[in-house]
Formats: sequence, C-alpha cells, structure tokens
Amino acid sequence: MATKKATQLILLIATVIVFAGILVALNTVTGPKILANQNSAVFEPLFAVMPEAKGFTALDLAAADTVKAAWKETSGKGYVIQLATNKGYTHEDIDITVAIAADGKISAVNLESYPETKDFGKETYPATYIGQDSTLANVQLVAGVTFSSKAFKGAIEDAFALLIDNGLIGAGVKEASQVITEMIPVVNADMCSETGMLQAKEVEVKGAKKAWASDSGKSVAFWLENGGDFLAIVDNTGKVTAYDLDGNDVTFAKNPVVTLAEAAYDEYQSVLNAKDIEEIMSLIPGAVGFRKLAVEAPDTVKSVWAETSGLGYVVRSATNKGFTHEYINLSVAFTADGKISNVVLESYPETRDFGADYPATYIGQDSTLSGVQIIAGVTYSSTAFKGAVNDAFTVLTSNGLVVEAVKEPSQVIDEMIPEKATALINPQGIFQGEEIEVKADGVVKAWRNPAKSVAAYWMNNADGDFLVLANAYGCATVYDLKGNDVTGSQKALSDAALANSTSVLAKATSKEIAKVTKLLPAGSTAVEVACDIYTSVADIVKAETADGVYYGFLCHTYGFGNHEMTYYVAIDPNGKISGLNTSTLIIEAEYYPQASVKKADYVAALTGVTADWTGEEALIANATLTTQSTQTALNEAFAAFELLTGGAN
Amino acid sequence: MMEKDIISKNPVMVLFLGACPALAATTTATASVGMAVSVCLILVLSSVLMSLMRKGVGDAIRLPLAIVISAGFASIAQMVMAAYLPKVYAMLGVYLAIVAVNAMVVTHQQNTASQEGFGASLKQAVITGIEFCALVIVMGIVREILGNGTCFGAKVPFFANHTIAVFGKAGGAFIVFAILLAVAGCFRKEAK
Amino acid sequence: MSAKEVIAIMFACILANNYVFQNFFGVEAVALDSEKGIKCMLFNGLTVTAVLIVSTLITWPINAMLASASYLQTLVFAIVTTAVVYVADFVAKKVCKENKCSVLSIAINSVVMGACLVNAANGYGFGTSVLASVGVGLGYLLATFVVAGVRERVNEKFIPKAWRGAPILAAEMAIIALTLFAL
Repeated sequence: MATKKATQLILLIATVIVFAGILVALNTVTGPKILANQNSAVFEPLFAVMPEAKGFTALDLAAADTVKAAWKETSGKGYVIQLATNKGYTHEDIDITVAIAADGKISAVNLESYPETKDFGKETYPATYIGQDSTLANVQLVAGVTFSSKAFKGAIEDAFALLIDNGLIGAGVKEASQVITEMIPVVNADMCSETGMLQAKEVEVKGAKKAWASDSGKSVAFWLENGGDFLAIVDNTGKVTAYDLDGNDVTFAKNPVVTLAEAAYDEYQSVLNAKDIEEIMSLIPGAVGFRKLAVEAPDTVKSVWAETSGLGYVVRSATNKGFTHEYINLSVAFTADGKISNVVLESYPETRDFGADYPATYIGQDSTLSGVQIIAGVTYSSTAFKGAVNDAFTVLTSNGLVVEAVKEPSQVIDEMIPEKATALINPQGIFQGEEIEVKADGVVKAWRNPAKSVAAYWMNNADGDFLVLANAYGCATVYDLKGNDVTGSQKALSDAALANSTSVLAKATSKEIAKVTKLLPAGSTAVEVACDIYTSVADIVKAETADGVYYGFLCHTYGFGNHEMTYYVAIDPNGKISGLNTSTLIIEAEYYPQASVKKADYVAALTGVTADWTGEEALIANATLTTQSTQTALNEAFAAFELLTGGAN
Repeated sequence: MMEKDIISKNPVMVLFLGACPALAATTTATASVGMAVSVCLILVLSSVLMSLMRKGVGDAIRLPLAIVISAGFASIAQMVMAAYLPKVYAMLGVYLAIVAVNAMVVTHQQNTASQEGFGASLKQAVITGIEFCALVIVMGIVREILGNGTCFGAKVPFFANHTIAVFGKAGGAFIVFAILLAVAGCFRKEAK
Repeated sequence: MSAKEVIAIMFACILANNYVFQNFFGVEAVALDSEKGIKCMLFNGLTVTAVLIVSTLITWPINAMLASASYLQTLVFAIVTTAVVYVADFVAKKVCKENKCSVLSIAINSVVMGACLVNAANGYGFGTSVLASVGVGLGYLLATFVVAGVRERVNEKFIPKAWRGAPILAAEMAIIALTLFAL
C-alpha cells in the first residue's frame, strides 16, 4: 500500500515536472512574442507618425507638462513626441503625436483625441504644421476656435522646446516679420486679443515697413528699419516706446529709431487726419475744413474737430461699454450753440439692434439730452451710446467750446429719483412709479410705488425746486436739484409731504408683519422701526435677544414683467441672513417653467449670506430678472441693516 | 466524493459545471469564441492524457493529477494565446487561468477519462466540448448584440441604437445562461 | 491599515464586488453546496475562507518570486491551492470525525484560484490580499446561503420540464445578481 502510494505521488510529481518543463520550453518561443505584443501597444502610435522608423528608444528628459513621452528613432531619422494639452476650451486633454525629423522640421502630426466643442478642422489643421520648423512661422490660429488651436500650437511649441533645449535639433530662425508680429501683443496690451494674438488694423504709413493701428484708436505700431529691425509703439499722446528684435526697450532720446517713429506717427496722423476730415466733412453741411483740437477728453472720445469757419464741432467717439464690449464707433456734429446737428453710427457690433432711427433722435438735443430715451430691451447698447454722446458734450462744455445747457427741473427730478428712491425703479433701472394726483400748494407732480410704501414729490417754493421723498413710517427727506439733503432747512416741505403721504401710502399689513416676525428668533418681541430709507425695504422690525438685535425686513421689488415681488428677510446681529421667505417666487412666470431651483434649497443657499456676497447664491438659471430682484431685495436689506446698526458690523 | 448522480444524470448540469467561463468571458462574441475553443481543447487534451495514464492512476491522486493536467494545458493555452492572439487574450484575462480548476474539465477527467477507454472518453470529451462551445458562442453573440449592439465588433443595425446594458453585466449573463440551458434541456429531452 | 480601509475592503469583497455574483467564481460550487443542509453550507463556507486565507499567505510570496517566470503562475497556483485543500481535508478529518461534508470539492471551486489570481493581477499588497480573501470567503458563504434560501422556496413541480434543474438555478442566480448585487 505504501509503495503504491509512493508511486502515485511520484507519478504526480513527475507530471508536474513534465508540464513545468513544457512551459519553460514554450516560453522561449512565446515569451519574446508576448513581450513584443506588449510593446507594440506602446509603439503603435509612434510608428503611425513615423512609418519608416526602425525602432524607438525613450528619452528621459525634463520637459513641459504637456509632453507625455519623448522618443528618439534608433536610426537617426528624428524624434517622436507624445503630447497632451488641456489648455484648450474644454480643459480636457487634446492628445497629439508629432514626428520631428532630424533637420528640425515637423514630418507628421497625428491628432489622437479632440474633446473640444468647436472643430478647428481635425483633418486639415494639424496638417498645416507639416514642414514647419520651430518658428511655426506660417501656422495660423483658426478663427472662432482660437483657444483650441492656441492650445495645439502651444503643445507643438513645447515639443520643439524640449528638443532644442537639449541640443537635439537646431532651432529655426524666425523672420523679423514674425518676431515683430509676435512681440506687438506682448508689449502693447491695446493690440492684444483675448488669446494673446495681434489684434489691429494694418495701415500704410510712409517711412515704416509695416504699421498697425489698434481698434480702439489708442495706439499705433510701426516696424522700422534702421540698420536692423525695430518695433515702435506710439500711443495717442505721441509717446514713443521702441524695441529691438530681442524685445529690449531701446527708447532713449537720441535713438534714431525714436525719431523715425515720431516722423512716422506724424505722417500717420496727417493721413488719418486727412482721412478723418474726409469722413466728417459731410457731417456739417457747408463745412470748409476742420482743425483737430488737442483737448482733455473722456476716454470714449477719439478726436475733437472744430470746423474752421465757426459752424460748429465734430466729436468722433468709440465706446466699448455696450453689451458685447466691442467698439461702437460714432461721430456727432454740434452747432456752435451746443446743439446736436448730426449723428452718424459708424460701427455697431452689438447683438441687438436699437433701431436705425435711434441715433437720429439725438438731433436737436442740447447737453441735457433731455429728449433722449433708452431703448427697452437694448438697454446696454443704448446706454453706452447715450454715454458716448454725453461724453462728447462734456468735452465741449468742459473746454468752454459750447455752453452747457441747463437741465429743466423736471429732467433733474426724473434723473434723481432712480438714485434716491430705488423703491420706484425696477432692478434694471426702469421707472415703475405711478403718478398720483396731489392737490396741494407747491406740489408740481407726485409719484408713488405700486406697493404704496414710498412717495416722491416734486415740490416748488420760493427757494426753488425740490424732490421730497416720504415713506409710510413718517420719514421724509428733501433734496435740492443738486442732490443735496436739505431736509433741515425745508421743514415746511417735509411736513407737507408727510401730511399727504398718510393718505396715499399704506403701512405694512399685519399679515406681512407676522411673516417677517416669524423669521425672527422665537420668543422675542418684535417692534416696528421707522427709518428714512426709500428703497424696496418697505417695513422694518427689530427684536432684541440675548445674542443681540435681530432685524426683519419686508421688501417689495420687481421681477419678471415688472411683477411685484415680496421678500421677507431676517438678519442676525452679525449681519448674516438668518431667515428668508420668498413666497412670491413660486408664482413668478420666469421661475415657474424652469422650476430648476427648489424653494427650500434656494432659501438654504441664501441663509448665512452677508453683505459682501457676490450675488451668486441668488442665481436661478434662465430667470435673470427674478434673480436680479432677489439680489436687489437682499442688497437693500443689507444696506438698511448697515444704516440701522450705524455700520457697526 | 463527487455527486456522480447529479453530473452524469443531468447533462445540462454538466454545462453548469463549466459555468464560470461561460458567464464571465461572453460579453463579446470574439471573447466567447476564444474561450469556447480554449476550454474545448483543454477538455479534450486533458481527457486524452488522463485516459492514457488511467492505468497507473489510483484513487488517491486522481483529483490532484486531474487538476495538474488541466492547469498544465491551461497554462499552455494562456501562453500561446498571449503570444499570437493578444487582443483575445486581453478580453479573457484571468478566466483562462481559472479553467485549470474548471469543474467540468476536472470531473470529466475523473469520472470518464480515468474509467473508460481512450476512444470512449475522447468521444465523450468531444461531444461535451462541442456542446459547451455552442452554448458559450451563442451566449457571446446574444450578449454582445443585446448589450452592445455589435456582433464580433461590427454594428448591428437595429440593436446598435437600442442596447440593453444589463446584458453586458453580471445579471444579464445569468439570464442568458438560464435561457440557453433551458433550451439545451429542451433539445436533450426531445432527443431522449 | 485603518479600520475604515479594512471595512471598505470587506464590504467590497462581500457585497459590492461579490466574487460569486460579479466575477462568477465558484458559481458551480455554490450551486452544489446550496443543496446541502445549513450545517454543511456553513462548514463549507468557513473552510473555503480558511483555504483562501492560507492559499493567499502562500501564493502571495510565491507570486513575488515568480515575477520573471510569470507563465508558471497558473500551474503553481493550482498546485498550491490543491495542496492546501488536501491539508484542510486532513485537518478536518482529524478534528471533526463525524463530518460528512467533503472538503476536497473545494479543490475545483474556482473561488480559491480566482481570488489568488485576482489579487496577483491587481498587485494588492500582502495585507490587502489576505483581507480580501477573508472577504471573498465570507462573500461565498453569503452567496451559498442566499441561493439556498431561494432554492428552498422554489417548488420544482411548478417549473416546466425544460427548466428544471440547472436552468431554473441559473435564473434564480440571475434574479439574485440583479437585485442584491446591482447587476
């Protein structure tokens, strides 16, 4: 039995040894193959860009983090670099494999992965790099897909940098023109686009090899030759900064390059002037000629011209305060007595059109611009336009060229109300007040807000015109036409306003007060507080607790469609929002269809917010007006809190 | 030692004993073909070797020897596949190694190969092997079409747009397996 | 290793990544085991866990040594696990003489081999491997009990002829896999 068992065991062991032997033998055949298979997965993309390669060895060199792996082809044909850059638009990796031949020129480029949202030409763009050396001189960025193409170019530049810095290939030599065009956006922010590329108009100027003028009109760049190539930037005061091809600042007084730049600039100016004069000649009928004026001007003003026979002035402006932040160009002609005689809109990059006849509404206006409207729905663009025309008037009036017109009290009052009594305007600045009939001495006009918490009176007495504001809690403030608070000296007016306000205004209802009080700490007694504010805050209650004084605010503001929106806010002694009721939110037409924010979550996000918030917590996707009304209500509650606590927090 | 009854009485149970590779390596049709052919070959070769050795093998070492033989052939299969069919090998992963202790292969060696003659055990091995192959390949195709919309990598028109993810996963594997076993059972009963 | 990591590994092996229902190791053994009584199932489950632990203790260092000859891995692991099973059988026979449950069937339970191979393939450290194998064993035990429970409820009389036996068992496992282990 024992021997049988022993033989069995021996048989077993023998089988094991035989198999082991077979495996070892087999390994000599399959082992290398398996190794080759493993490697081929790694080498596949390398052979794909350099098919004629014999093999590759890995280069272990320090490189930029876009370089994932660098390989040297074993028979000296060149190098293959594998890159991954996340500097594109989506910040996800764009994978690139580039083969650079021994002569330092790109022989092939493969785009392995492209996660970008816009296509820069996946099949065509990488091919434009083939044959380029490290200068990448003829490579462009793709319009409209600048971030992605810039990231791609940057990665290729890193690949070149790796090889050049380690002395593996020679660097290409950049042509002077490339050096110059790449230097300009670096030294002159006025000509630098969002992606760091040159953004300027090319112009012809005698004396310069090439010249560029920025879109804003604030600077000019010249490529000058004086025994070598130089770049000179001239700003619109005539100041010159000169650079050599290495980027060194070579601006010193005796430098002939500076002289050349100044000459070129004068040449450019006279050409420009000639061009300008040609363009504005038609603005004043019967004009003989124009003379450029060198005056202090707001930055939207590009140039000021006086018609040589005294017919008036032309101001040329460019404003980027519109919606797209690109330049709106306009020219305005003024008569000698300070009225607009002509307005020409020269360029309009905005997305919404304020109407072809809008500029014409300015004709005949004086410096008060009292007859001019802001177009609803195109507020940013029309406000920017009005601002530019206003600046044009300012440059003329402040330099004594035309007389400043005096604003009618009605215009002053109309312009003062949005500033002093925000209860009467919506968060976008549009007046929401309703006119009320007031039969009292000295009251010219009166308005109140739909919530009946604030009334504004245009009053007139022997001392002049005044704007008197009154709220439902017996507070009144008097402002003169200059905007100064003159309540102390005009008691009669404030009394009259208060007397009237009791009949036209209404205090907060007990229901509303209860809703505010509910937000305050339990068990505390709430008392109403009167405060001379005329904002969306219609009522204030305070509660003294062991922790300090809590304040509750009832706010009436305007949401979508100028629908009245009510907010109940509680602020703790530290200035943090401790309670919030946004009950009207749910019926907001803008909010409801989106229903993207749950009220409970919304309130939770806003709890604990303080006056220095960014407003982000109030954001509701696709409901901008509703969002703005929340931001307004909360900001005005914070402001009221500041006022009540004397800025202690 | 082994519940012979369950195994030899119910041939479908035999297939269940080889369930592990069937369920695991059938997410795509290519992988299932690779696995099926490998298991089949391992089964046949192991049975052949065991039946050649049966005279010298006593009760005590039958099981360990069976495992050693299966493990040996499984290793050979692994090496050959890794060298010449790396893509398929990558799909099978660790499951090809598990065939070393595959219940179907081992019990077949124990019960049939070591007791019956060379010819009979070879025939039995081939038959079981082919049945297993069929089961696994069909499973692979079904799971790939329903779960991935492709068949051997090529897109299938309707299914490509309406993939049912569960078939690519564990639960789906069991479902398809159950159905196919039932179908196999049907045919078997009819044949009997 | 922190308690959190230990719990995470155990949770993963027993539930989230149950080797029987996710990786299909030991499916056949579960099928066979679940027919036996509770005593046997418990015994088998615990023995499997013990075998797993011992096998991992041995195979992990061996795997480290085999680095250059990784093609021998399958053969060596198979031999080791079988040897451990035999030792376990020997111990079991000595300790519980009246035990009727066979230990040797664990030799063809792919859970043991599977766990060792997966530990090696994923490059787990020594501690993690051992802990994982404890988890795997317990997962196996859980699987056996669950399948047994389901099988008990299923009355073969109501099952169509073609489905009796293996097919309905596979269907039961499908449902278990879908519901308990989320696909």
